[in-house]
Amino acid sequence: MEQTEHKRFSQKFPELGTDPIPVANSVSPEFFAKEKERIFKRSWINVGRAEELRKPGDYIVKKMDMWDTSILLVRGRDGELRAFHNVCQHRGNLLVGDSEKGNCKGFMTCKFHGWVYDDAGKLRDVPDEENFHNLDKATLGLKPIALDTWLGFIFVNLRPEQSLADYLGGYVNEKLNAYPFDRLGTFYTYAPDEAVNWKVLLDAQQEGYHVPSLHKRTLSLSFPKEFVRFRSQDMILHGPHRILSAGSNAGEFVPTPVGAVASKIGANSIDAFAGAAGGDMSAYAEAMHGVFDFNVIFPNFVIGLLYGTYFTYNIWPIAVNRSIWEIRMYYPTAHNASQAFTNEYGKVAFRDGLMEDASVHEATQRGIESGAIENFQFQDEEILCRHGHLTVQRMVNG
Amino acid sequence: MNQVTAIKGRSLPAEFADLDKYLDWALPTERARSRKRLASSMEEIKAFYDDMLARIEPALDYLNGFPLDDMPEPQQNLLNLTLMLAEVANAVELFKTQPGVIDGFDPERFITDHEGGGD
Repeated sequence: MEQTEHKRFSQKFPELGTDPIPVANSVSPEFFAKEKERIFKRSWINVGRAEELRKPGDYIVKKMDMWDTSILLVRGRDGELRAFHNVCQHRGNLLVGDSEKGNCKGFMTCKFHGWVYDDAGKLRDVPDEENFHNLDKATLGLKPIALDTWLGFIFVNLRPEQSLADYLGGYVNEKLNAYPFDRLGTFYTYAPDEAVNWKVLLDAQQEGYHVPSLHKRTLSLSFPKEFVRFRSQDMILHGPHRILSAGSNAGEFVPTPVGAVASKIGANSIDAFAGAAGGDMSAYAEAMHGVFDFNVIFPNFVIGLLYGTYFTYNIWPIAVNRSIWEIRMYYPTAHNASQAFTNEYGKVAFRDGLMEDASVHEATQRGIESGAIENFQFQDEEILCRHGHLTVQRMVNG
Repeated sequence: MNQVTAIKGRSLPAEFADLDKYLDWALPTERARSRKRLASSMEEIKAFYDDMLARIEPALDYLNGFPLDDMPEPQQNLLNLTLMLAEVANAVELFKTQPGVIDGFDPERFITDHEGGGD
């Protein structure tokens, strides 16, 4: 597509329209309560990667505020990965509360009365069992939650209405399947707790219009020199899911002095955003549309693919105006100082850009709560924001 | 990489003794390095940046000879200095007039020291 053409995506997706989108659904507690019931509790939600639970007995607790529960992910001794409500079947206490993750060595004990479950969720031991009335242990295992994985990403669903494969639809056979995730085994996490609606946070990230302005000192360096208008290479929709892909600027990109040291060693976020990551990147290129593919899996999960590194966002809705932005940056596991250095450079250089992003989230939320603005005015490059709001409206209002 | 806190030692490897005056900058976690960056003046940051950039490639080549997860203390200090160069790079190269992100989000609310995965 011509990079200077206007209104390309509204022509590609006429069904999304061009009207302003009301801010109301991003400030209403009533609407937020409906989103919990009609979207979050019915969607496949990413909660990490299978490699985080390698050994039998490995467990992770995930606080799922938008499901009004806490869940337990456990790798059983049979090798299976399972999810359960983290709730003891005796009187409802939180079963695993003392640490977020670890290895349970086969058994989990509730601290309240000592009930014991195994790593497949079965109730194995009840102290003073003979003093109960008709207790049937076989029916009192941990309450299971649907779990499935895709390319190593773990998804759970409180009330599944379709398989994960059907939910992902067009993504399942997409290029994404070929991306070499297994080469990028270490991740670094940031998780700011922000006073912002989850959709407002996601909107700030799922468009490139802001890059020449908000990121003029940082990420703009990865993009063309006379850069005042951002033009995506393409946008793709698959039902409720969406992809923004950006094209290469490798010919013009000049790393900074420290960036150049890192780039000689390996890919980092900054050269990757420009499509200028060195070395053999063919495995990445074949799996991607552009040099930067921002994949949004509805409702709140982002997989940001680059050459040689990728990142994910899990945007956890806590309240209508509170979200936790869990960011993970995935890199090759460092086995020597050079790789540790280039990972660090990529991580903190990208991190500074994300701190520019976060700097507008809370102000935007306050602004839309103030009554000073009735509608979001979305331009063509912001069409994925439009797609997000319309999808949410449709699912909530039926 | 080894995120266990390395005790701030008194030395660097002899070959890099020219960087001894920067031992205060050899910090073991991202949060500590970020705080040091933000608490320093641009003059201090630039002096460290210039001297460290001149030695970064020899330092990494040298350190590649040691196991990353089990470095002796002087080598761990040198490694932490290389990571500190990564931390201050943006201050010198991009923001220029101040150590931290200009108009950025509060780093105390953003930066953690969490690392997961690994193979």
